This record gives sequence, C-alpha cells and structure tokens, in this order.
Amino acid sequence: MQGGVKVTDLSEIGSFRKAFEEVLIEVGEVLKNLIVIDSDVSHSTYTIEFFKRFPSRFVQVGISEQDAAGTAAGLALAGKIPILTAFSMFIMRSWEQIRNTIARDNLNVKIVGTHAGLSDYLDGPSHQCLEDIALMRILPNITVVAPSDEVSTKSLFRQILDFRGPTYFRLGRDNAYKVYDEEDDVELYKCNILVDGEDITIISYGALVSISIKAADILRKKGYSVRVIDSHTIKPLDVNMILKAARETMAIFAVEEHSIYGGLGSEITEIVSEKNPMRIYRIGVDDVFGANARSYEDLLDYFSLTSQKITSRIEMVLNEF
Amino acid sequence: MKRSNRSLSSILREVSSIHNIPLSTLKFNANILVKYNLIEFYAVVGKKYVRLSKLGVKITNLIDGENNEKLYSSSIANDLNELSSNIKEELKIFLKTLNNFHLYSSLTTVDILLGILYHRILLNKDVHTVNLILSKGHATPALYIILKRLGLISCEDLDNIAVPGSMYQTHGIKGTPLIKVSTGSLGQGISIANGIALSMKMENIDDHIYVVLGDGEIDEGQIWEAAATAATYGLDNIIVVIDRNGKQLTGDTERIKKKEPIEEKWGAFGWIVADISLSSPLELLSALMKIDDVKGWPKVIIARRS
Repeated sequence: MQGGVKVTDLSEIGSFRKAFEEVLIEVGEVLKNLIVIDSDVSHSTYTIEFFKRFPSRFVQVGISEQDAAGTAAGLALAGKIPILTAFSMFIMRSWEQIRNTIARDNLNVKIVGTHAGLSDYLDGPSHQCLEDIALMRILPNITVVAPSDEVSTKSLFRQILDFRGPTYFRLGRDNAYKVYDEEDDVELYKCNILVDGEDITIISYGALVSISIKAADILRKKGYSVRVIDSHTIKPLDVNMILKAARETMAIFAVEEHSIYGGLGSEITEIVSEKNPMRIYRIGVDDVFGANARSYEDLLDYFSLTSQKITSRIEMVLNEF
Repeated sequence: MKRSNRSLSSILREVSSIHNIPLSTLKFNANILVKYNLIEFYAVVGKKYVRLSKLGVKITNLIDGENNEKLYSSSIANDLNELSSNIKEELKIFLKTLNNFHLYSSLTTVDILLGILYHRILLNKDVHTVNLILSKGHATPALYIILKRLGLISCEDLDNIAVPGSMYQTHGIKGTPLIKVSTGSLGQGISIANGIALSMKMENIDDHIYVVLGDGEIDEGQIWEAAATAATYGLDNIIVVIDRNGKQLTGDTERIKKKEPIEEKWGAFGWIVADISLSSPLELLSALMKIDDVKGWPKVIIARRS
C-alpha cells in the first residue's frame, strides 16, 4: 500500500452507514458486553438492524443526546462497551457531557457520529456538521477517527474496540466512494499514502480522500507529481508521516469536509509550523454553514470540493510558486 | 419488650417504675419513636399493642453492634445525630481554609450522605462498594469529612484538597473512595446512574444506586431527559435524593427558577416520590427503608430542609 498508486473514477459508491450497520452486527456477535445507545435515529444511523438482532443490548433514550452521553458513561463505568450513536451534529449537543464525564474520566465510550460533514445534503445546514473534528480533537484522552470508505469503516471500527478509551468515530451518511480493496491494510494511527508524489501533498480524510485521489490523477496528467495521504486517524495524528511530506514536497493541501478552522488543516499547520515551516493550504468550508441541496455532488460543487474544483484551486496556488 | 402483645402504656409504666424515670418523659420519647417509625402499633381483637417496626429492629441491632462491628470503627459514634453535628462542625472548620467553598450546600448534604451510608449498613451491604453519585459535586467536601470518619482517607489527604496534582479536589473525581464518577458539572448524575442501573439489570445484580441532586440542579434539562429514561426502563434500583435546601448559587430557588411543585413533577414523570422533612439522617434513613424495595419504578426522595 505505502507509495502505491490508487486510481478512482468515483463510480463505486458505498455507504458509510451501511458499512457501520454490518460491522456493528459482526462485532456484536462476538462482544457480548457491547451495547448500542440510540437517540431515536436508528432508522437513519442504521443501528436498527443491531436492535433487531440484539434487542436486550440496545438502549433507546429518545430524542435526548445529553442523556444518551450520560447513559453511555454509566454503562462504561459498569464495564460495558457502549456505542453512542447519533447524527454528528447532535452529538455535539452533548459536547459538555462528553468533555466533563466521558473524556475527563477516560471512559470506554465509542461515539459514532453519522451524517457528518456535508453528507446530509437534503436536511441542510442544521444537520450538516462541519465543526466536530475541531470540537473533539481539542479534548484530552479522546481518539478521533474518520474512515474514508466502507472497507476502512469496518476495519477501523474493529480496531477502535481493541483498546479502552473514549473515541469519536466520524462517518458520512452514504456516498462512500471506494478507496480500499478488502485486502488493503488500514491501520489505526497510521496514515496511508495512497498515491506517491514529489511536488505537493494532499492530506484528507472521509469521502474527500477518494475525490483527492481523482484530483491528483488530473494534476498528474498536467505534469504535477502529487502525493495523496489518507489521515483517517486525526487524533493522535501520524506526525512522522505528515513531517515527511512536509520535508519531501513543497506544499501541503489539507482537504476536508469540515470548517477550515480547527480541523485537520489546522492540526497539520500547528505541527508543521513548529517543526518544518512551509506552505499549507486549507481546503474545506470557509467560515460558513452548510447548505441545502438535492444531491451530495451538488453540495460538493457548491463548496468547491469536487475533484475538478480542488484541482483548479491547487493549480492556482502552484502558479504562484 | 420481647414479650408479645403489650400496650405502649403498660410498657412505659414498667420502665418508669424500674428505672425511676417520669412517665411524661417516657411518653415524650415514645412519641419520637413513633415519629421516626421505629415503633408501630397493631391491633389484636380490638386492643392496641405496640412493637418495634422493621426499621426499629434494624436500629436496635445497629446500636447493639450485632451486624456492624466491621463497619463501625471506634471513630464513628453510634448516635447518628451526634455524628451528624460533629461532622458539620468539622466541615465548617475545614472549609474555612477554602474560603467557605459552597459551605451551606455541603452542610445540608451531610445528613443525606449519612442516611444513605447507614441505609447501606442496615441492608448489610459493604459501605465501600456503595453505588453513589454525588451529582451536586460542589458538596464533595461533606463526603470527604465522612470518608475521614470512615477511615477511608487521612487527615493528610484532606490537607491536600485543592492542591494542584492532588486527587482530592473541591469537586470530587473518580478514583477517590466512594466516588464512582467525577462530577462538578450539574445535571448529569441520573443519566450516568441510568447507565449503571441498566447494566446491573442486564447482569441481574440486585443492588441500589443512589444519586444526590441539588434542588437548584433540577433546573438542568438533562435531569428531566434522564428522569423520563429511568421511568421508561422502570429502573427501580435507582434512588434519587434531592437536597431541597431552598438555595442555589445566587439566591432562593423559587425566585431564580420555579421548582415547585417538585413532588407532582416527579410523580408525573413516573417516579415513586417521598416528600419528607429532613432535620436528621434518621428521617432519610426511614424514608429509604420505606421505599427501597418498591419494584417497577425509580424512586426519589425530596429531602426538605426547613
């Protein structure tokens, strides 16, 4: 995988929540102390199948995310492995409970936020979470993970159950463009270099990884050598791999379905500016809320996050060099 | 007292003549026993007799030290009221060094904590493993003084309160004896208790979990989210005690945000409610003994401090 060349035409589209549904049942069969907590969105987060399979290990608290976070804390204190599930946006409503109880007491709660980023295009800005990475990565003790497709969703979810400690697992709704093959290694804490290159580096996570690969492909045809890194573990960040990219290429572009403030772009800037100052460009949503749209692609286009528009942005920058 | 079917006046006359105590004094004391449900009346063919209540029997055993030798170190007085006032005096002195940190709140929490711990003792359960969530975390100093009396923390530990790096913080943290979870942020206690209670139900563990709330704390919306969840799941292993001391940070509770009618509110949420006046730990203990084995509903005691 390291240094290999991934190509995608974005034609194979999976679903984050479908992958989550499947892996949840798979681990539920094995881990009998795994409990799913829902805030009345099981039909949307796809935890409903877990409920049908293991009704006694499914806790419904109704539309009350703060109560859900506290209940998860209690279950963890009693030795269970609670999977706290809701839309990312509304998990943020319980940020203070996560901060003061789950994170502060280092409780083994696995928080799964679905419909993150722009993926909930039809619900509009009230549901589109562009702040969660910033809000979660600032908390001590928490591991923050954002898979990029179905294969990595399943693989990384299994891995976050292998250690004790609070974790925020960020998922989109559907639109999981294929990145990995079943046999590919996706290892927690380790960035994956999906495309190697020497001129510039694109670092991304989530559904935009695939789009970044496509952008790199377009740029390669124009004569640029572009490295693409999937930084699925946002906290703790694979600092060595980021600094290596900083040393070996002349600019880093952080591409994310998140506000350009506080997300991966900010995190990379914080680290690189101290260790190896260089040019870093944040490509994301620039200090505005989301927008309503009839398709995910329309919304990406609106926010200039399609492979074409990312390519143009990068070209503009490269012309300044 | 061991002879069956005796009336109260017959017993009092006998005690009065044997110990040379005025009958009026004994009648006054008997009224207190009735008030605290330590004795109860029963009738056989129209005649009214008296006997020790379930609680009275347990208290008698307690005072005799039958069950509790291991739990009562010599530092703990047998008399709950005396213990309570001693702790409160110590608390006042202790908190002077901390700028009287939430002193009133700690003082009104003492009787509640003692009532809960004695309830544990009466049920013959290990005090050290009590499932206790002090949701009103700012009253943790009250718990520290009790922990010291129990011999679970030392004077040196108390000297270290609020020292950077010390585990003894003004708002208690997980890992301290009897502290199940860190608190300090209000409104979270019942939700956390629900999680623990659900887990105990899943594993068929028969035990109580106690949550101590402040009356100001019930302003928090999460309290009511959690109250509804506990009722939905019929979490009868949860006992919440509300310290109804009438004060919150900036003044009288009813002026800041209306709380009453508290009893009706909890009842409407599907909880068993005991609305009591609290002037000593015994009153809480008595309420706990009355409701602890009620099945099917979560339980709340509104402990009014008059």
